[in-house]
Amino acid sequence: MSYNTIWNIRSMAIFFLKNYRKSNAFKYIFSLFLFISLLMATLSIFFLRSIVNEFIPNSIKIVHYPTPILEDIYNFAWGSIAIYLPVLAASFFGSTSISSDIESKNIYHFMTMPVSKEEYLLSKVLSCYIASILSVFLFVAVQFIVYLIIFKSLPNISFVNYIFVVLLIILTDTIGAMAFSSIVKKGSYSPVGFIVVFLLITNIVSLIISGMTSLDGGFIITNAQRVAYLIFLNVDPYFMVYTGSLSGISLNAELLSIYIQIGYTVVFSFILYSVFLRRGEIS
Amino acid sequence: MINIPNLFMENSIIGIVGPNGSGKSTLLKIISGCIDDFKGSSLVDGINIVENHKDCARKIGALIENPWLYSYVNSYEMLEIAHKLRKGEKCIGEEIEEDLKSLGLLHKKNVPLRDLSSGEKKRLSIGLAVTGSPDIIILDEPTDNMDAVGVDMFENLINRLKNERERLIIITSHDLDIIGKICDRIIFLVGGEIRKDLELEGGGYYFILHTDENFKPEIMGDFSTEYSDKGKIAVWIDNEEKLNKFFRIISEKRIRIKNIEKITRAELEYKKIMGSK
Repeated sequence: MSYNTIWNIRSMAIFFLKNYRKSNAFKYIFSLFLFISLLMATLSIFFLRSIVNEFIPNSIKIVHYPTPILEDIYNFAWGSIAIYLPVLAASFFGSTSISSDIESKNIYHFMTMPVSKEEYLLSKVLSCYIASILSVFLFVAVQFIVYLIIFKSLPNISFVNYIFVVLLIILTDTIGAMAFSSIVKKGSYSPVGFIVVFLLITNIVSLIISGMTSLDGGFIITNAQRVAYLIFLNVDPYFMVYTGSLSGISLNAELLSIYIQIGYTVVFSFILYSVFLRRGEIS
Repeated sequence: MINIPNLFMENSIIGIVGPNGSGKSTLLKIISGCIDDFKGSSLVDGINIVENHKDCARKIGALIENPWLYSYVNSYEMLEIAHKLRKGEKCIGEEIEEDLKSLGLLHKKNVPLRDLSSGEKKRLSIGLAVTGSPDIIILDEPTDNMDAVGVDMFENLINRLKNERERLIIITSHDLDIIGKICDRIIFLVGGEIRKDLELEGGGYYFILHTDENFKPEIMGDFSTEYSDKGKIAVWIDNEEKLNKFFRIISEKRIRIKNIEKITRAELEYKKIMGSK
């Protein structure tokens, strides 16, 4: 990669990011995530023990709340909200990024400059990815601060693992949203369309995985619960790091989930690259 | 389908006119490298733009279609990215401010583009196309949405670019008046085919006289009356002496005039090609 290519990608990514940062979409998503974060903070600081009680049978009288259980439930609560944020952020920033540039003809400004289509595409991916990270990590930052307040210590290593997985999921969702954006022409249809298509794809893939791991012909009905579990296992940050039983999943299970996530990223990248670059005419 | 052989080989200002759907914008997209799926080739200094887009694009500045521009950045940031991509690290803030001044947008440099008028946006789009002073400048409908002040500014800009150094400027427009004023050559495009390739020399206007149907064009003496149709004749006037003579004949011969239209040569040719009455 030449210096000029890096310069072009960097310059365009900063420019697109400036446009995102000042956009209404960014303000709305940032406000929404801040609201959710503050709601979760309030819930965690004042009602964490009440939530823990929900997981413990009524017959057991609680004398002391062990920190590891409080921690697990804290992570479970925040993680189960965090699973929806990357796809929401990606749908806001990624799903309109290319379609709106084509619709508004703004893409011609860049296509007539000494810039390749690959450079334009990479800078778009980078700017959408950073915009999504900034908004999602507002939630993660509040999660971290509230953790410090409640537990008065730094979170354990699984928090780093969790952040890595969130980053990976934001990347997958962003590229997925942009791949969708390169196919549709109307930017206004993109956000909802992307969420529907994304959920359909991940559900279908999970069903296929489930089918391949079960010989039961009626697996859709009998294994419905398991299918749902597989869906979340492979697409959300929480279940990659923790399980519904509040005990950490095995390294193999987590690696499998990460491989599947990377698989999605590669497929979406291929769709984005081939659809966008093979367009002989931009309009 | 556009069938245009070796066209743009000289240093001049070329106007391309034609009705909607005649292929004007498509032609400009091909020349500027926005379309790579076409038969034939678009060469810049002998280099195929499809095969070597970046090198060729350095020599071309283009305004294609009518971009809405990015809503939330301001005109300074928009020009800054154009400078950065065209000139690399040599981008200087003073140059951007100078560009904004020449576009009449310096006082609005921090205003988000969504708050600019359509004419101001168009001026900025033209500014983006000419950033870095490229050898070839391509402008698609540059005077659309512009008021009289904007059109004057555009004329001055084109004249400045023309006088700066030798370069090729290609302009499409439905505004035949402005095309007639600034272009050295006009190509009339209909259905992707060239109907006429017209060299323009010097200034001047045609006066179209609307008279009686039995009017004899010979009465105008040695005036060129190349267009006559049912009581309408076109008379070429390119200097003051001719203008005075023209009105003297009308007065002396007591020609009954219902209406006089003042049009450029480009407009007259367009009327002929399109069969406009």
